[in-house]
Amino acid sequence: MDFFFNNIGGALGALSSVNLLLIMCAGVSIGIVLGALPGFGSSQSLALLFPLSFVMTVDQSILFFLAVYSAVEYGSSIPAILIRTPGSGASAVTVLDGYTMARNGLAKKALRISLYSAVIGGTTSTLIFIIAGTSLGHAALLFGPSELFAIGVFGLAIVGSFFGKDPLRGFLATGIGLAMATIGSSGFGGVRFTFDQSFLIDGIPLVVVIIAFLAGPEAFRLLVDNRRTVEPPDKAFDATISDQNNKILGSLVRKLIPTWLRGSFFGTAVGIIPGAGASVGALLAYSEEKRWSKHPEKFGTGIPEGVAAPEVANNAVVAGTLVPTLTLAIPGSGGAAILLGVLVSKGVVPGPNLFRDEGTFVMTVFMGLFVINAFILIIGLFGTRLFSIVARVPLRVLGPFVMLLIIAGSYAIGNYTAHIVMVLVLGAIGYCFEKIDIPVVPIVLAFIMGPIIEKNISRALTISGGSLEEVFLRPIPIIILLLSLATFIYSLLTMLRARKFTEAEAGEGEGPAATQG
Amino acid sequence: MPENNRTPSSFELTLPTLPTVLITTSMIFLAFAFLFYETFNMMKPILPGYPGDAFFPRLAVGYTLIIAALILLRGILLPRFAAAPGEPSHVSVHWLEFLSVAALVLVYAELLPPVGFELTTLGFMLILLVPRFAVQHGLVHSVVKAVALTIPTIIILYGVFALLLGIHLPLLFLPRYIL
Repeated sequence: MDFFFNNIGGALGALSSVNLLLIMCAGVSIGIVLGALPGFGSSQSLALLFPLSFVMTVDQSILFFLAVYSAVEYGSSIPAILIRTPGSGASAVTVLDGYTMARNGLAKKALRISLYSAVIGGTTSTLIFIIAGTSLGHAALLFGPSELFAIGVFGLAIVGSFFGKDPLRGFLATGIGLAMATIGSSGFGGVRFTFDQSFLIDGIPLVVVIIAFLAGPEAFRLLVDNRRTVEPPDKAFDATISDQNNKILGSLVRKLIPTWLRGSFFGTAVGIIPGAGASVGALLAYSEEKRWSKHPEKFGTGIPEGVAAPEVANNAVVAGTLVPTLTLAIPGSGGAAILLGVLVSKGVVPGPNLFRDEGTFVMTVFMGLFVINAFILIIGLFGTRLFSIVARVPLRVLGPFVMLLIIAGSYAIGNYTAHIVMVLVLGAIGYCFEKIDIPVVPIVLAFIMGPIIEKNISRALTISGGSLEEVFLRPIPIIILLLSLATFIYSLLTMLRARKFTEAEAGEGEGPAATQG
Repeated sequence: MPENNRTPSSFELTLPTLPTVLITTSMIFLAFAFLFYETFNMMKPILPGYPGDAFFPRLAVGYTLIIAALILLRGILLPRFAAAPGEPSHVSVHWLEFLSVAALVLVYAELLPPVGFELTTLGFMLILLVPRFAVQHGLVHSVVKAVALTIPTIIILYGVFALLLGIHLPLLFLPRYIL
């Protein structure tokens, strides 16, 4: 509690700045618009906006990106409810009941439930984040460089396991990201993998990697795969909304409170696990809600719990992902990786020392999340109808604008056209990788975590006089490294089990058909 | 759900997924084998205890080589287990569109400094937007719509990047500072 009381004054003072409030307000508005664009998730949105961090201070940029991140998660429910096209994977479950409600003339009610759930999820998980983050941050202060190295390896093992359908391809992506992070000056006078190219001496800029791998494949997908996509007109979008049926009554709020609490818990817990992300949080909350319900058969028929559960969880994930990101420098998702990137680019070193050295900054982030959720509520209440229009932007028309933003953003890094070419090449590689299920998010995560891991292992070895045994055979590092190995093996076994299950299902499906045939 | 009215064309390249994954992994393996060799040309450690410039790159590249080898071995020896659950058997890419977009971005990057942000962006957006609007509308309508959307976009980008962020965009006629 000392941490809280020592820093709360400074944090509230920082948050009372009009500039900061305007920046958070702008972040929320931009985030809802980007979230409402069909298929546009938090990583892509944050990657596109990354160049804006160049002109912001560290407080401003982290709160702006947190505002965008939180608002995108809420905004993505708008197209899910109105046009059955989730703005991101996290809102895919919302389609089941949200769209059905909209078709039944309850679009406004579904949107309101989604908004309240988002705000409640964000606020509750912030409270959990304050407790979990500070406790973990202080516990992690006991860790030395070898422990932090082991935690970094563990983070990479989880990241490689969770992203994509095949863990081996996830691990391959992680390796590519780590190797890319070693390009350029070593910091000890030498250069690595530059091949006498002067533009590689400073390494590949973080912004280039973020924009290329997180926004680039999306731009190519919109331009190439959706070049002729025509969305059918949807009656639910224009459904006549009767205000009487669309009111959120006190009885409904009371009914939804347990759903909100359970969803907040699941969302925050999933957010804390690196790699799991908002999609898993939303899916888990929905299935758990169905399990707890007295009428599970009603899920999917347009019931408020079916909207509230996934929406409260996918917004709770945001604060959850900040726990490992800020305390251990392990980003739990693409969005968190960008937040980590923002911090690193501003010279702030995430990790346990952050809580000791930058207490006011950490508290400003905590308190800022409450303000951001308040903005989401206010802007959501008054602007949902306006943001709904964005949901109707055809995918094929969206592509050129996204590509233009990517080009402008890459050029903004030092006014250098070579960066546009780098983003183009890496973005095209990312697009091709995604086609064959090599996930690109682990590349970015490993690229960001690589230097932190290298710094810790080098420091640990220097302290121990180069003795590998002293670094790796200490109790905590060896336990964490064994856990990393267990994660690696477990992910492969899970994939094999999932494969057998799919094959068995396919076999069952083919059986009767074959008999009939 | 969005309806894709695309028809298969000769510009669509369809490849079997597993061989594509294996060929890609082989290329990554070869590239990383070369990088591993390169680590031996890196500077030797100068500080006592410091593992040297090559230590971490060798760790990262070696790890990637092992994973790539595992993917290749699995694909060759146990092809049944190589595909991820639910993975489609084929992948397709509209290669002409893909290359056109890539070429267009390269041309944009080349023309940006000499021609200026305004005209380059106008040309870039019209080339991309007009055919996309033409899927549903006539040519004239599509051009008008594309221009009507591009001009405000240029002004917004100019406002954000040149005026707000102070980025040195190569401008042709728009003023750098508005007093």
